[in-house]
Amino acid sequence: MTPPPSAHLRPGASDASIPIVELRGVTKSFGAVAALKGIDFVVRPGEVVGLVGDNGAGKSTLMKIVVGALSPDEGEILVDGSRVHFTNTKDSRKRGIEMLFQDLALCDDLDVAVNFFLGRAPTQFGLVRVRRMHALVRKQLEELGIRLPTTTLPVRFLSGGQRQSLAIARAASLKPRVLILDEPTAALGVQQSRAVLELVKNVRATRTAVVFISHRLRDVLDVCDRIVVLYEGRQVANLRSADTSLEEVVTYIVSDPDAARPAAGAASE
Amino acid sequence: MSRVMAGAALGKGRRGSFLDRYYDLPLILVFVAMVGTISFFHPAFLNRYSLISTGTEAAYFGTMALGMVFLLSMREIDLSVGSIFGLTIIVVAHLIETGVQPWVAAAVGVVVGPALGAVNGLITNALRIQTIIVTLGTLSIYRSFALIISKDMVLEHNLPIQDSYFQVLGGQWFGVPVSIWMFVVLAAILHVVYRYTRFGFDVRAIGSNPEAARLAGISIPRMRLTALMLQGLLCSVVGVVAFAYLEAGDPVTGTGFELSVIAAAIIGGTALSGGHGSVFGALIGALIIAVITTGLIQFGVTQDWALFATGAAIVGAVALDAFLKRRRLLAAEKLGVTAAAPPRASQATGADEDAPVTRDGVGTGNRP
Repeated sequence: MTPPPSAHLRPGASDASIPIVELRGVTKSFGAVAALKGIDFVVRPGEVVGLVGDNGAGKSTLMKIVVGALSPDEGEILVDGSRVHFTNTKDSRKRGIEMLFQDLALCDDLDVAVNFFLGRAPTQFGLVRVRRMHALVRKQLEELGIRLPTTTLPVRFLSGGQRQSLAIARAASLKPRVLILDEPTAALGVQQSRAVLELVKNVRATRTAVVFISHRLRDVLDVCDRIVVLYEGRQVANLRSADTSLEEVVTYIVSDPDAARPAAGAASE
Repeated sequence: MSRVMAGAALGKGRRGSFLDRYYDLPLILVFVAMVGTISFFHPAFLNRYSLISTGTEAAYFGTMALGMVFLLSMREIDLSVGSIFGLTIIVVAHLIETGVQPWVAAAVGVVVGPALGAVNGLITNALRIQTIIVTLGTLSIYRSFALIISKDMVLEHNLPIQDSYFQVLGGQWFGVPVSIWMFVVLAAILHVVYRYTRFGFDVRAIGSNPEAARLAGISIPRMRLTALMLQGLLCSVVGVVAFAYLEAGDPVTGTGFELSVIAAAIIGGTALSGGHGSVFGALIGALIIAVITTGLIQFGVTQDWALFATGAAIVGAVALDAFLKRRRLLAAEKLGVTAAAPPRASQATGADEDAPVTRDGVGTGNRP
């Protein structure tokens, strides 16, 4: 279900049908190993796309290409319909694409508010407005439904779920157009995962599109509008969450597309 | 390692607990106890002359320690501080000897430090090696410049001692030597810079997690360069003020200062591992070292044992800090604010209970 080519559309138009990010025929090899074998991938405004597949299927490689941490061997990347060449993550950030990596980028020694405003604390006459910073953080965390005991707590004392929530909230506060989350619930317990999933839904409500990479299919089905399944560097399915089931997704994840299989890419009935 | 944060964990309110707000308190108590003990046995320690000589001693390396707080907080270090200090004195002395107006020479001297600090920073950034290695090298290089310029002699001839430079900076204001004023005023300014400016926040962010700081858009090379130039500036300001008082330019002045400077910062609660520190603590740390060295002499203790005591103070301060941190961690846990296991620790196990696919191990052999 590759989307129709949208080259004829005006770049920058805010039409929901223009993908924010579009990848066409992307390939990537590491030495003799072909990690991606010609992938088309699309993220449209305001949607949550699940990216699933077994270990080594190419999920992280694909997303690293989207943010410019890796460059593709072949294929093209389009943002708002026009071609781009990202050479590092700064380039993609400028275009509103933000990725949260698995290892959380928080400073343990610093408190919640300082982490939230890392490198961009509000200042007046050169001095950081500490009170205002805490007030702003409390407000923004509240809006996203995140409950933390206090914003003066160094993040070392937060639980895994709280850390993950804080990291996502910080990324979301940068108002990216696409937020890529790499296994945000992998290390979390059931309760904590639920809180993070709620947060993803709240982020989506702010019209930020989300790419949700995960092994936990129930989480993916819960939170995503659309699910893309990769198998050994190929896209084998592009399913609407509402129309599919855990079993079907599993089938795609484990089945070799070259062997007998249901028609790849067909949205399930 | 961490006084500040453990204290904050106890803070119920927005502004943190008592210990969080006054985290330098244990240090101040130690200092007061030391002064009290010494002056109990030797009341002469509290006379004006004794206090001024102790304060002046602390002011020299203590002012440099203020900059070291920034460097250590971002996991950097500058071993060349004593040499920058010494070279500044020689540059100023040499210029004045050759007839340059003393205030002009002093102005040139103040620029020497930031320039040498910039050299430290640019070499570190260009070669991508650690500052400890670079500054270990420039420690010798800068000292050799001082020896070369002075031809290995003490520059003390033809100095216009009556000039206002020597009279003002080498004298006293309201009965207190200018060097002590310099120390206190710079400590106050840098305390605010450390605690309340973006620069201070970014320094701590880098020390706490360099990768996170980088991802947040903080330029580590630029911050490193700035901090090393600040350190150089402090060294040369001390040099300019010290020369006005000493009225002689000895090319070996400041040899070995780096150890006292780093010790003052560490006793003051700044962690070598980065992430947090205290400028005010470094001020107290420098005073503690000065009190040990001058105070013990009052007891008739020789220099060698004073050195021993300084070393013991460093170990003692770090031990006290670690002890207080553990106690606060325990208290934090009692309050129910428990430190979670690092997120990655549990990743290997139990993370996949919702994903039968991976649990079955299907596809594990397929990984290219």
